[in-house]
Amino acid sequence: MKINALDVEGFGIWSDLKLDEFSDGLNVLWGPNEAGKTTLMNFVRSVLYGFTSQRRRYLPPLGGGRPGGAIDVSGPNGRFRVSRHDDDRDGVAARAIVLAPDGTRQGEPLLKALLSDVDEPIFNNVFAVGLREMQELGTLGDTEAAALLFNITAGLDRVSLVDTMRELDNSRNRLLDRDGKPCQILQLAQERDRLQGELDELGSLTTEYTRLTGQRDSLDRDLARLEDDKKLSEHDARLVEIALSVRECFRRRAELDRRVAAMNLPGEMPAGALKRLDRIRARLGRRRDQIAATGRRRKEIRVEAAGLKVNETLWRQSARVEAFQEQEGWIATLRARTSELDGEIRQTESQLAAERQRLGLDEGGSAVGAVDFAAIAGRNMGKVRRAARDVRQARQTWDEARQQADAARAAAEGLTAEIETSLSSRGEKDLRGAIDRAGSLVTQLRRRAQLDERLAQMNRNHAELEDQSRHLLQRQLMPIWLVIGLGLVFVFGVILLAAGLVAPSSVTGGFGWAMAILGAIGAGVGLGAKTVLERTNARKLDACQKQINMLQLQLQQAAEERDGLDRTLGAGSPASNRLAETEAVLSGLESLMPLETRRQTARQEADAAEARHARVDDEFKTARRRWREALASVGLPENLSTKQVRQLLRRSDHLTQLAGRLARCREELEARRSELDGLGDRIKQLAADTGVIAVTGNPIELLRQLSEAVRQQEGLLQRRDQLRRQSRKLGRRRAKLDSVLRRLKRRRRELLDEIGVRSEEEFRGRSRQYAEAESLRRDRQAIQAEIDAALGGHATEDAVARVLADGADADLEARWEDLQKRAQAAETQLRDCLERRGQLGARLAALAEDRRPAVKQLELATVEKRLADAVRRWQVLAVTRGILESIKKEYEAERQPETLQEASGYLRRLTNGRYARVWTPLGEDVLRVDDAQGQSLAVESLSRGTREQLFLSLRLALVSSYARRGAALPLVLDDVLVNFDGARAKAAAAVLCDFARAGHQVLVFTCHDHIYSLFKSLKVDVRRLPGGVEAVEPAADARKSSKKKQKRSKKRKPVPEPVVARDDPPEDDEDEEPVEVASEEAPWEAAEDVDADEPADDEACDEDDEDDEDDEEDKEDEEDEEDEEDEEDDEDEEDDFEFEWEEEDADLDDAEAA
Amino acid sequence: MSNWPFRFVHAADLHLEMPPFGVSEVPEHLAELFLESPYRAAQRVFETAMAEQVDFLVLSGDVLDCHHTGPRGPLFLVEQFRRLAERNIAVYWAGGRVDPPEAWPPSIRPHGCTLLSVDRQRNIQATPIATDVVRWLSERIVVDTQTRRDELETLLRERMRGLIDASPGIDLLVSWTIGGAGPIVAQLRRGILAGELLGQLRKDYGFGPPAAWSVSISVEPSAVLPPAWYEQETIRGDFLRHVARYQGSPSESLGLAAFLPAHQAAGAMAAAAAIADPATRLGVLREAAMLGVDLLSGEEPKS
Repeated sequence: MKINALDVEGFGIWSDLKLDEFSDGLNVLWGPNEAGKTTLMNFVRSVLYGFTSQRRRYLPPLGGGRPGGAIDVSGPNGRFRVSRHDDDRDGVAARAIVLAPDGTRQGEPLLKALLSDVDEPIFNNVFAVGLREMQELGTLGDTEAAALLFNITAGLDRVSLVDTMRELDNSRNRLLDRDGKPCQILQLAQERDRLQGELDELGSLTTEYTRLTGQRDSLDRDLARLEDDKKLSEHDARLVEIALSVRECFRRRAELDRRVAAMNLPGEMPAGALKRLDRIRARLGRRRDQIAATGRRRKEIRVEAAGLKVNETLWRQSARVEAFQEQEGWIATLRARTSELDGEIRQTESQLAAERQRLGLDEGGSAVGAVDFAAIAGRNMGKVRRAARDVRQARQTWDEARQQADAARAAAEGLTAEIETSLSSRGEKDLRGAIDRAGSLVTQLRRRAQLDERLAQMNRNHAELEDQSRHLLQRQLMPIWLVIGLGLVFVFGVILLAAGLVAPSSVTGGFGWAMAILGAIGAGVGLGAKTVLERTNARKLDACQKQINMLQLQLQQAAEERDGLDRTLGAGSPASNRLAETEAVLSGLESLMPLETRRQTARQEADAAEARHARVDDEFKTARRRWREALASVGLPENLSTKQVRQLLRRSDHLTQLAGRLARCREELEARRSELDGLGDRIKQLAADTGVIAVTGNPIELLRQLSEAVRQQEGLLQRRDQLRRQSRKLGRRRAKLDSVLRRLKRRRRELLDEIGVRSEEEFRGRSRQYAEAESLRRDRQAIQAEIDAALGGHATEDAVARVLADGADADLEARWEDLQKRAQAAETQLRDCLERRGQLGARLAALAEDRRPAVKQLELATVEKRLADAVRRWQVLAVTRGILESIKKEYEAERQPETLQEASGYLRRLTNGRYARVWTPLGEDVLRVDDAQGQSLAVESLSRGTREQLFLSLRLALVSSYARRGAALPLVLDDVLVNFDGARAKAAAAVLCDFARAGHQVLVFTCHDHIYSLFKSLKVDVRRLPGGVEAVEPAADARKSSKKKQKRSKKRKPVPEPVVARDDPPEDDEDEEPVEVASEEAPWEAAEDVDADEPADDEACDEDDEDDEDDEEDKEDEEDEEDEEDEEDDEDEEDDFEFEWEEEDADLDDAEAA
Repeated sequence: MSNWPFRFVHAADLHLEMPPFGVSEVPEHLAELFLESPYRAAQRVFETAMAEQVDFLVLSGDVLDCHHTGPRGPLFLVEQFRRLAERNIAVYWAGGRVDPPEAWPPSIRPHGCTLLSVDRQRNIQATPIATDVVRWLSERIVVDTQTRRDELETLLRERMRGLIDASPGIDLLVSWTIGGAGPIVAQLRRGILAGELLGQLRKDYGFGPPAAWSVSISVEPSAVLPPAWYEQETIRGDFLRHVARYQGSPSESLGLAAFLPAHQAAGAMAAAAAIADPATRLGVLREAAMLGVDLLSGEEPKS
């Protein structure tokens, strides 16, 4: 399959990019770094193999457009178009669509077929060689590099056969090592064996157990027996022991028995007789004490009662006291009231005093004070009121009048002053006169001015008239033309008339009369006009003359008047100025006129006001007199003012009220006081009667005291009663106690009789005896208890007695010791036995619990499982390895030789014959390289550069091998020549050319100028990817068709089109070679022509040889460049580039080459 | 027989000496369980008999191997018999030959007993009663090309939960087999994903109580590889063709003896190298095919 064209619709930085007419052989695409070469390579991969997540990074395309694109390929079956887009517009999502030559759309299977089933891993490993791989080769060590190179030949598609085999070997050897080194299977087997052995050992546990149980049983039996023995011995020993201990007790007991018997008491005392006696005695004592106490108590009571002193009198009066107490409240109220009244009285009095002061009555002295307000109140105060009112009014009026008069006068005087001031400022005294004078002066001046004007006017008129008369005079004489005119008219008229009249009708026609009339009219007109005109003129002239005369008269008059005025006015400033001045003065004076008027008025007013004032004054006096009379009639002092009286009247009611209140208060006060005193006296009296000392004079306090005293008495009385009751109770008690006493005595008597003694002493003696006997018996009991304790239930008394009876004491002890020894021995034996038994038991328990078998079993099971798994795994690995071994042998037999042969050829050419052959020794997995001298070298000893050449050779051979087997795909080289120096690069380029010519399509991407130039010099189809580099000449292949293109070239010379990433039709395509690729005409002309007419690419290359001479210089130049630039080997990562079609320009090429 | 119907419990193959096997590695927290499980399971059988108040108990063989249990085994049985005797339940123990445990596939481990009721008409009613303490389960999960890792995880978990719910109170040992085809299968075969999933399952369910321990996750070898692959002109294609050839001729030796260390040539491994068993041979060839495909496919093919 060969790539013919790329149609990038949108990928990375490319949008709508079309690269057509790829050569079937070598294509070089050159673009600077970041130009987008990698993007293109990834695009190709994407279309062929799909959009992986890694390649999706180029989407969405930076320049827009549909993501994806298409590749035109051609295979043995024709041309196909493979398109793939990362959207779903075609309904297939991101899958490929293959357009077959017959127009059908197919899918992935066809693509797979086109790719000859070469999937992406194989493609990457075989058909894509990049700078990275070269560099990796460079970083490897010698052996690794050699191995890598060998691997290429030994089988490489997706993976390296040799590597895979090695991996398998490692895994396998870990499981089961061929050389016997430690490995998993062996270890597991050993483990298993070991566990099995342990497990077998553990099988004996059960027998052990059985054996031990037998032992245990016999031990148990022994134990039982020993136990019995021990018990027996112990029992005997104890018996003896007890006997020994009890011996003494027996003896003592016997002794006691004897003594008791000796006492020979008749019997028992009645139980508790002594006790009873004692009890009675005690009770007697108690009772007696009680009686005594009672007596004492009664005495006390009596004493106390006697001590109570009761105030009988008071007690009898208690009712009264109570009654008074009830009145306590009333008393308190009285007291309060009295104090209240006191306060009120004082208040009222002060109010009265205040009133008086307010009324001013106190000032005058007692006269006012003596006024009897009450009396006044009743009188008819009307008159007084009226009089007062009158006075008030009169007073008011008087005041007003006064004021007015003053005001008027003031005004008048003011105005006068004003006027006089103004006048004096002007130097005048009399306003009116001044005004008159000023006025006349103004008139005169005006007149004068007027006269001046008139004179001037008249002069002017005069002049005018003079003018006019002259005019008229002139006009007397009629203008000549007029005269002549009129004359002519006249003459003509006359002629006409004459003609009319005289001429025969033959001359005039019928118009003779008309003519005559006309002529007459004409003559008349002429004459008349003249006359009229003359007359008019004369009249006018006369009139004018008359006017003139009149005017002159007037002038004269005016002049006379003027002179007269001048004389009057005197000399001085010109009239106009004086006029202004005088007018000003006049206006000033005139302004004063209103003032004058006002002054007059004011003076009149002032006079009037004065008169009124005098009048009012009289009225006022009258009113006052009437007022005084009124006061007198009422009885008030006359010198009271109205105000005072008014106030007096107003307040009279109030004062009356106050006085009344005062009186009332005083009355009440008296009453209350007397009442209070009365009560107080009575209480005091009472106190005195009852003998209570008065502590205070306050009746309430006293009352309280009394009641307190009463309560006291009550208390005392209560106490007395209480004491009496107690006394009585005590008496009763005493009686009871007496009776009890008697009873007790009786009982005692009875008891004594019962016992049979006559007195208590006897009784006591008897009881002592009994007690003694009792104690003896108790002792005996104690001893018995001792004995019993010693026996402790271990033996009976009989047995002990028997033992004691048996032997003497000494024997007994000996026997005891003996027995003890025996018991101890038995004990020891028993202990041993038990211990053994315990150990045995523990052992048995341990065995019973022993889980080791299970544990081992489990371990064994797991180990066996692991072993089985490992074995299985080993089997699988071994089988796989075996099969791969066979494959490898096949490869070595069949494929490798031809691969190496082919590689040798390439190597020879690449190294320019320095190394002739690469081969592998039989049975060894290494490569050897023979140099030109036939010496065989190991790959390890080759230089880095040579290794790269070897690498390249092998890769080429591999591609070739694939192609032979039917998988022919374009080889993509990504800047692989960068490390080669000039010569090597040239050789490599040549090899690539040849390789391509052999039928393999090669796509070389590079970013280096020198490589670009190199290929170009080999007439290879190079394309430049835009990225800011100046135009480089296109390849010279275009020369073939140069003739045809010459015209076009010329046209296209000036400007290479920038950034043409679209299908702009070129300027002229008509005579372009038919292009096989898609219908669009590319603006680019292929260096190789792919049309049927032209020779094929390889031949194009061949034809280059013709131009070798010309190129020789170029190559040498380029070589020099390359040498300098050899060491640049940065990895280019072009991310975007713009494709610029370069135009073939044969002429340019020639020009440059020359 | 005086009582009709009479009821008895039948159990066999208690194999007290055999802890659960078939696990290549016992997790620590389950070690105790493994060791005790035969006894506990057996105890349950006896307790069933007591609870059902059967007339007698029949143990028909392979109850225990004394040599391998130690005294513990017999003592245990004695104790149980004593308890049964207290309740008047007789025990009939038919001796059996203790089979080598390797021949027993794990799934047929004893895990129950049967309660049989026979009435006068000789009608037999059998009620199986589960008494196992630890249960082996093999589960298969099928995936396809669309299955993603999280989906697979979910499937595993759901299945596991189902298993736990179905067997309450019983500890489980589950071995998973993933069948089907798809990219997830290839990933599993590499091992890392399987290891992760296994670890996850163990972490989440393996500790209980009750514990549901995932023993392994293995991938079923694909029944069928794409036929196209057999035709490819690639190393993988070559490989598959070889495998097919071997599969086609069962008598052809696989040549594994060449890989044995010298001193083992006649030893136990010889049998392993010979692969006499046809089923094993087929299995090995299939696995080898898968391994080869994995190794030789290079990067993940978009299949």
